[in-house]
Amino acid sequence: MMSRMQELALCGLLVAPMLGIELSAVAQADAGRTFSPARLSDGKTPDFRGIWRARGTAYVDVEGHAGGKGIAASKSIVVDPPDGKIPYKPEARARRDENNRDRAAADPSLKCYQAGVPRATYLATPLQILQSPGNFAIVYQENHAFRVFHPNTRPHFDAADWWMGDTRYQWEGDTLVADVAALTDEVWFDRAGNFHGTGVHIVERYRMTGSDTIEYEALIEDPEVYSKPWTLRTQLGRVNERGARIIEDECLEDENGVRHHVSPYDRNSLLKSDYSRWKKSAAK
Amino acid sequence: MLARSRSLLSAIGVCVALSVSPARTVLAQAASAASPPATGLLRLSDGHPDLQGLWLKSGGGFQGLFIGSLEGTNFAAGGARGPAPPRYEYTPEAEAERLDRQRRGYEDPEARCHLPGVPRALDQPAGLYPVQIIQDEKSVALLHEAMHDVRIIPTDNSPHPRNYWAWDGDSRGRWEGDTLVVDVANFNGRTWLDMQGNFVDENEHVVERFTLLDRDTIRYEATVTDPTVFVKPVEMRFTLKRVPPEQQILEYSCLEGERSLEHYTEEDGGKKRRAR
Amino acid sequence: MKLRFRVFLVAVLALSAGTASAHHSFAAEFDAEKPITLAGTVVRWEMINPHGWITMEVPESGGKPTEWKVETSNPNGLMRLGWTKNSLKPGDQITIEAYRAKDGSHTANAARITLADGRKVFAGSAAGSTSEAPSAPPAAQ
Repeated sequence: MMSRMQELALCGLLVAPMLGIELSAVAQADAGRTFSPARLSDGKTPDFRGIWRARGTAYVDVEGHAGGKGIAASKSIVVDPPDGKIPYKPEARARRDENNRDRAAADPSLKCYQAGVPRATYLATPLQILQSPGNFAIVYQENHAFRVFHPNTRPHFDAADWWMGDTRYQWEGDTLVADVAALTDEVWFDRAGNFHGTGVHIVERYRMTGSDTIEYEALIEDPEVYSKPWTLRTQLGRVNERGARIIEDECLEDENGVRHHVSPYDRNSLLKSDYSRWKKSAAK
Repeated sequence: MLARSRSLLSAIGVCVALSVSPARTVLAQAASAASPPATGLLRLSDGHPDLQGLWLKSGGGFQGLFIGSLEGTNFAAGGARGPAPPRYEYTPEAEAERLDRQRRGYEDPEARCHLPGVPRALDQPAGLYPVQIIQDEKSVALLHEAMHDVRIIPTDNSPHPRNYWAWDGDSRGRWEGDTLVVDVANFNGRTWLDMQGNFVDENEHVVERFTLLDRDTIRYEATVTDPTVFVKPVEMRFTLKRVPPEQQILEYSCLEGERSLEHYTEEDGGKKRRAR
Repeated sequence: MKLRFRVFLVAVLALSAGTASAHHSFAAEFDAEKPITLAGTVVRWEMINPHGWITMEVPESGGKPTEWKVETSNPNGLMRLGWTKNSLKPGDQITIEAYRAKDGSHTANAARITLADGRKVFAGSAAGSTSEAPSAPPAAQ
């Protein structure tokens, strides 16, 4: 299991050189609903390219949490219903509570699994939007997950249940609206055990509110699990430090079968030890 | 805001100036002397060939099995004979290691869902897992179905970082005429080249060349050097064919559903020998 | 939705051991010298990467049925042949030609499946040599 320290270190690797960016991004966050993004080479498509990272710590619990151990407190990012609570059906709430009790072992992300939608969006680690006229994809640093957004001119490919869902999108003005279905029920929304079923249907909205901010909204419906649809909303800030990159995130399994994220900046990531082993054995 | 607009304008000015500068023209001519620019290729607005789309390795030892077009042709098969397999010439020590790894094939990192590395990211069995390419004036991104491997390659010929070691290494690209040349270094030495025990260590260095031959074909060439493993560079070459638009890239999760390792016998790397 | 039912004629050529899955070595898990034919009832079909798994009950003469887990090839490939997560349903009667796992467990690697209606479909993962072609996808939902 990856310790919080390791995780923070991993995140810090990318973000540490960029202190100060958050502030400039905050200043532009309220530039208003009339912000007009730059355009791609076609002169039409809004340009969302770049490396982005969610503000806040909703990845701990989308319904809000008190923080602790170097993690800032967070208000609920559930904006509808207004009480900030996911409208679980009673039996589903019981399962959420059970997940929550078992979270130290049961959170799928501890096994280095892909995070799912929308969880991947508000992780502590950044994401990169890749775009060209007619193409839109998001690469998430964590566990090198990616989603290719397909135009909604064709229906969902739902022959299987996917960890990152099947995404169909269209532009509504300068807002990208994505319809996500065919998600597995093995992913969680956060570390607190909030969850959905395989019948979940998500409508995401990505809207630039300034040159360095994206407002992200997800409308989530799953009649099996929730009494009514609900919405979460969070902000992504641009990571625009010169030279910032999405870095490779792989996990190695230790002798106890526990997976640990390894950093490519850590010299221990090299296979040196085993390498000297084979050189020695070959020399005999 | 005014200052911002001004700097934007001057930036645009510089870009325009660069794009018509004699230096660029000379470079283009030099490149064209080596290989005349193909006509009729799809190009981006920056003039470089448009490599975008969904592509699939063609031919090869394994006859493309799974990807059929909607018309029923198995375009991945690419004929009975695929590209010649690469020739590996190992140092004596490395040859001993290769034989050992061939015997311990169960230790292949890809069976443990690790990133395949380069060139294995593209050198998957032909016809199985496509790669989606998204390109702009600054980068070419390879989104591989296999192992959901991602390589975002800047095309500014920037230098490799120091103190960075990764399964996929670090890729830096540049255009030589109509060919995308990618220099890959900073490997962590953990990847194998295939299931047969062919391997590299952290001294691996790869130069890849992507050439759009026609609308539906990319020639892929890779030269793999590794002075502590090979006495001669390993040369690899195959083609990528465009996948019809009716098909799409699918998610390939691996760790999430991996159950085969639990059936490995101890002799074959099961249980006690799992960690590596 | 149309997509997955339209891919019908994909020639299935001979496979060489260990390459079809592109994920793990066939030989590390299965024994090409131990072919087995399993006839029974589908309990569960999991279309998951990197390999799909069919859980089935195989009747034993004069005893309780044995539960077998049969690995298929990579589901993305199967989907491109027209398979879906609903292609096999609990209760379906099927026959699988397979190869047993080396560890002696009731685990095997599917080469070919015969559906209740007699159609043979390819599900191969690694060592099976299925030279007949073409292979049809399983029943549409």
